[in-house]
Amino acid sequence: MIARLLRAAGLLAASPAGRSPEQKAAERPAAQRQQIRELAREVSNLTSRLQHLERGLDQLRALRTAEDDPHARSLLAALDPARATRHVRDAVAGAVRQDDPVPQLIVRDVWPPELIAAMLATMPAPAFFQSAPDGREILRLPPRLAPTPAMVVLAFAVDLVRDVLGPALAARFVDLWPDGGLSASAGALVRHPPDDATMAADHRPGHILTTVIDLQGGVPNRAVARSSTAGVMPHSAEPVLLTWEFAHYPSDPAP
Amino acid sequence: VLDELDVLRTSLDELQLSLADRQQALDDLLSSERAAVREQAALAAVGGARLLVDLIDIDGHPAQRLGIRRRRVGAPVERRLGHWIGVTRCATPAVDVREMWARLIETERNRPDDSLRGRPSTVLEIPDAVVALDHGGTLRVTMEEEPRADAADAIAIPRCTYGLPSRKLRNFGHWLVDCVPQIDVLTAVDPSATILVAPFQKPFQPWGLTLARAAGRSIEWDGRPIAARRVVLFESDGRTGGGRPLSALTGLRERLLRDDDAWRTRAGRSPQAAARGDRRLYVTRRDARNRRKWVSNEEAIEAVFARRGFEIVSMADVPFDDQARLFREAKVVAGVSGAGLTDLLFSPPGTHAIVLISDSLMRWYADDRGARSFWVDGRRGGDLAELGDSPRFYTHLAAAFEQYCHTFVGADAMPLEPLAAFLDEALARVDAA
Repeated sequence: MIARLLRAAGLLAASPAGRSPEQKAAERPAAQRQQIRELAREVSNLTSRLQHLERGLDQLRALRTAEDDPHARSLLAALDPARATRHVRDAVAGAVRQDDPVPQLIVRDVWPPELIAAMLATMPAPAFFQSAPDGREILRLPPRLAPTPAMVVLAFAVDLVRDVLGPALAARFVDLWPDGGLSASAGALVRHPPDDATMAADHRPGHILTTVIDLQGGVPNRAVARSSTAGVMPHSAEPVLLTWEFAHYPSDPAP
Repeated sequence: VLDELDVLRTSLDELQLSLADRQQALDDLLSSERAAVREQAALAAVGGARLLVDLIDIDGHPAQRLGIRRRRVGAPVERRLGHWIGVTRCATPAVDVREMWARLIETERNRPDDSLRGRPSTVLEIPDAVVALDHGGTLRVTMEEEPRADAADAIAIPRCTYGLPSRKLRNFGHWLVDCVPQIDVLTAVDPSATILVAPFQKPFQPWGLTLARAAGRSIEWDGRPIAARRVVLFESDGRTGGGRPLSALTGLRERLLRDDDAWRTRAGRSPQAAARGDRRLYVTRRDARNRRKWVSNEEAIEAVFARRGFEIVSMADVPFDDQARLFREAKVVAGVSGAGLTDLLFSPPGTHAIVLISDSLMRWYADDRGARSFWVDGRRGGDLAELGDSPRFYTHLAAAFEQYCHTFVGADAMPLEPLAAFLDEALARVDAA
């Protein structure tokens, strides 16, 4: 409709032969050029609002269909808090810490298989993620809105991060913050652009430890916990598509 | 070209407005979806359903529990307490009682606001489940993959069946203001479900089922396992920290009033004008057990009221339907605080309640062995409704019903002269209304 209106106003007509758009623009009176600039801004604004609307509609569609997925339901039935807790503790305990060049722990198969299967099967559609300027898409956890099965799985996993994985990792890095305890944030799910081969962790002042878990691409189900002074995470042979990133920060303010 | 640009700008402005409308509609939809999804996710949480109350245990894996629905029934209630408080006198010489009363009034004044609030009740609808009551009073709900062949179609369980001590079930007041509204809510959700109730101990209990439209479809349940294709479970009565289940209670009352022919003819009038009768009732406690009479000069008190046109009624002598009729026709209802006054449920808005509280009744309310005693030291600083479990019980109940409540605190041998002066002042308010 916008294009039709622009054509009706003669603003989208093909340029006459031999005259560039710049030449044509230069021939327009200044007031007209100003108005066209303003209209272009409004069209741009309208376009982004339409995209926002479309995203909301996609969320609604996803919400309406997700609950009926029998595969997701069967995966939910297999989730067991006690088993998951044991698995995560054992995985962290079995990982070997390296301190060169920086303190780092690589935990393989950090989630029990039934949990990562449930996470991937119920993963919220891209419409539930927010776009970041660097091309990544981020869903803060626990999500404010996602299909119910995803909310159930992610709430469970967030509890595991806060109550089991976070404390287990903190115990392995107790020397990084000897004056007090470390607490883990719930973090965020991050969808990476296709050409993003590194897991760029979300470093912020005050974070002591940053953990990135590959969920898709990279080395699936591998967690890398690193002192946050370390910068980017190790390269993967395969592009990383989806990660869970969270941070540890001091439980009490520094003395 | 400039004219055409103006046309274009106008069209763009219209598009912006139209888009804003659609965005608002979508935001509203998403907001309600967000609330529904959160609630559903809490019910299906790995590790166990997160419920609004204790004493319910739902056994089923998360995928099964995705099939549970929580429904909110009734409307939120908000009443300005101060508007409905009438004449208040404390005439006891007992220092401890005077102090307690003063502290209660102070606690009431110090609440964040003057509003009594109640949230809608919540009801859980659970498919294919077996229910049973354990010895600790917890309701066990076991969800099944497939319906059993012998499963009932639908059963409904009020909270009073499993969450109320037996001594409260035997109390007319508790049955009327706490239990019957729950059953009425369940009837509203599923009018055909079989209601499981605790075994009857008093004749007023089956009468209560009639009020809640559940007569003829209830079972006295001893807690043994029962399977059903659909279990309708009263979860929360929406009370905000104490007091009474205001939403369910006012919902029941409004329906009863609507159903009453006399009420219909006066519908649309103000609460004051809607008071239908001119009867003055004094509910005597002469029929109460000795240690629950609360006053020692009941006959003399009755005489004070009788001289002012009050009919003296003993509820034990009046059939339940007639009790309801008496209260429907009353303009003023008086008595020592007790279960007999809960029939205020049937009285129209604008009715005046006159409540007498004796020293021994105040001390009973303050007995720290009872959950009702927290008001004594005002430890909790939350919602005003919390103070409904206190000597202010009837003030709160009357306010919920949009009725005025006058209160007199006196010794067990009520001082007749101050009582008469208080009563005349209260009746002057009645006449002025």
